Amino acid sequence: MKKNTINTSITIAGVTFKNPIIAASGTFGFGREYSKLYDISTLGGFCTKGLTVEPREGNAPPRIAETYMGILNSVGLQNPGIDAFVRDELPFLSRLDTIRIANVAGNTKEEYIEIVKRVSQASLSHCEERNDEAISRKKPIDMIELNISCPNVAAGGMSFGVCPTSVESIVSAVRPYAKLPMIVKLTPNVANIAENARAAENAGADAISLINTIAGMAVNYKTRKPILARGFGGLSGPAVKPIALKMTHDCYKAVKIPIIGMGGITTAEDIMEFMLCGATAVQIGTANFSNPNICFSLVKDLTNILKECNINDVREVIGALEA
Amino acid sequence: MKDIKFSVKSNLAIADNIFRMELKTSAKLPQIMCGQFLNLEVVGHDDLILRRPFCICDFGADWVSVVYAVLGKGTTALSKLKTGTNINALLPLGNGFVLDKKYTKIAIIGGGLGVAPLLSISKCYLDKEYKKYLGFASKKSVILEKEFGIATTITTDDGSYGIKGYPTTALENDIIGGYKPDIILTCGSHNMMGAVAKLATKYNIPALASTEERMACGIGACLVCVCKVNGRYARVCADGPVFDIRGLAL
Ligand SMILES: Cc1cc2nc3c(=O)[nH]c(=O)nc-3n(C[C@H](O)[C@H](O)[C@H](O)COP(=O)(O)OP(=O)(O)OC[C@H]3O[C@@H](n4cnc5c(N)ncnc54)[C@H](O)[C@@H]3O)c2cc1C
Ligand SMILES: Cc1cc2nc3c(=O)[nH]c(=O)nc-3n(C[C@H](O)[C@H](O)[C@H](O)COP(=O)(O)O)c2cc1C
Ligand code: FES
Repeated sequence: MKKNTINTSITIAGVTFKNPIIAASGTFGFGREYSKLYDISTLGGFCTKGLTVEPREGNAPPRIAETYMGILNSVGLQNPGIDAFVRDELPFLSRLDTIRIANVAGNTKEEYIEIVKRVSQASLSHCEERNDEAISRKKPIDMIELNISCPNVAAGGMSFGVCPTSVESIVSAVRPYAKLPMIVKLTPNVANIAENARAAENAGADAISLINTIAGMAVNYKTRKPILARGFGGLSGPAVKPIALKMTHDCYKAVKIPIIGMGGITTAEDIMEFMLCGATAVQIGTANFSNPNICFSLVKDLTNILKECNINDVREVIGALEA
Repeated sequence: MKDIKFSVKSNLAIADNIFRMELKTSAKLPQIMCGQFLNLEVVGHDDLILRRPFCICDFGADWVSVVYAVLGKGTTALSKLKTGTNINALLPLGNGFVLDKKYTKIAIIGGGLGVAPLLSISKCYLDKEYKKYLGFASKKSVILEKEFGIATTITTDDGSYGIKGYPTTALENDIIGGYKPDIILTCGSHNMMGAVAKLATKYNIPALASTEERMACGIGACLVCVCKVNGRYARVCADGPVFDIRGLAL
């Protein structure tokens, strides 16, 4: 019998992933916790919690509410700030054999530029400081994911990601400072996501990822209060999948750069659907909470499903949706 | 910490709206510390995607038990599970009650379901002297009295069983009578733990309290479960759930 080797590796902006499975920002910490459960180097990659220049406290609890097939979160961007990240997390990240994506955010153009600069610097100088041959050429961070869903303080709190002009302006402002391939993460809370995807591409994004969470609310009718302390939050999980799929497909038709799709992915079937709609890779967020080993399992499940479908190379699936 | 496949060994009501579920497994259980918790899959309700955190009430080589109140959709679904149902639980999570060797006289104060994580303390620390004070709303909500064994004082708010009043009052009466615990370990309602915090300050006794917050990952990765400890956000699931009571805003 012929031994069938199946290729699961994909490439985005010159960066090769073992497989298209990436853990999503905010659900995977800096990788440490899940690495106690399984070898996270088996994953294609993972995104860190959103990083900002200064430490951020995040929002008041309760920060989570469960809804039908979904969750609303209002963590905010709680993170230790770039200095503590570089000091405490980079040594751990540098030992991993998977693609490490730093998710970054800010509230002003200057903050975005600064965080992108600092992450690039930290990753590149980490290599130079090491004389150790084995790791000297390995960057502890491979890519940057720009979260542009944050409120823009200078524009009265309207999100940077909300319209094509503001997307183009923030992405082109940071582009010269990003010394690593840059993914722009789009928010679904917009009129036409495909136009924003195009704006990101025009401004120099190497790839786009979508969707971030969808704005939503949960209310307790007895107390007559919102469940989340902040009043509202972002919806994720299986409930958002059909929306995320269509948005992935709309963006695929609009841009040439690779797309990383996400929103409610729980099974290998879901991954196939996102890839058919044009995703080169996918991210898994909320599903990590239902099953802490889900990303690890999906790597095997994806190979099995490709085998079942007689597909030898996962790249064949990308954008192969038929009319 | 491991995600373990269990099967339901028993799942029975032990008081008004309160169930005890025993789970057994053929997998090797990691070592468990009293006060740690597990994150239990909700089987039987497909709309729910989050697991439910419960204290590990008791455990053995191949089993754990949880005691839970039926409150919402998740616990309602759990209360209907039949013997033999397969169910996954991630465990053991959190820090548990970690005690310094120097403490020998231990006072345990639990309120309502908060008594559950306190049961296995005497199993984890064999060479200590315990006094236990358990408070309940009324006779029909008293749980685990037999399991807590000797040196246990039961109080009820309405006086329908045991001493009428709060467990903190019972402890304070003993302190006034000359009892001086080295440390107090507690879990219960916000109000009860607030009263414990006051006692601890008044009589200068160290105290550890087990807290709750809504969770998702249960392992420290998502930052949804924070509470203020010494004025800064700490993750209840990974930095707690047991904290020095002085740091909590009670
Ligand atoms: C560390 C820890 C240990 C716990 N130990 C026990 C125990 O031993 N026995 C017991 O009966 N209960 C315990 N709880 C509370 C228990 O997790 C909730 O009562 C349960 O999740 C309610 O689920 P539900 O679907 O019935 O309620 P719903 O209100 O329908 O749940 C909606 C969402 O809110 C969450 N939620 C609701 N109430 C709480 C709460 N008090 N704490 C945390 N999350 C909540 C649920 O997990 C779910 O995500 C513990 C909580 C924590 C954090
Ligand atoms: C608890 C939580 C925290 C999140 N934090 C971030 C974040 O810091 N930065 C970001 O770009 N996205 C964040 N997200 C969004 C996810 O990365 C992802 O875009 C979204 O959850 C949709 O995917 P899912 O349905 O698989 O979870 C967060 C999501 C959750 C549930
Ligand atoms: S529940 Fe995720 S950090 Fe505590």
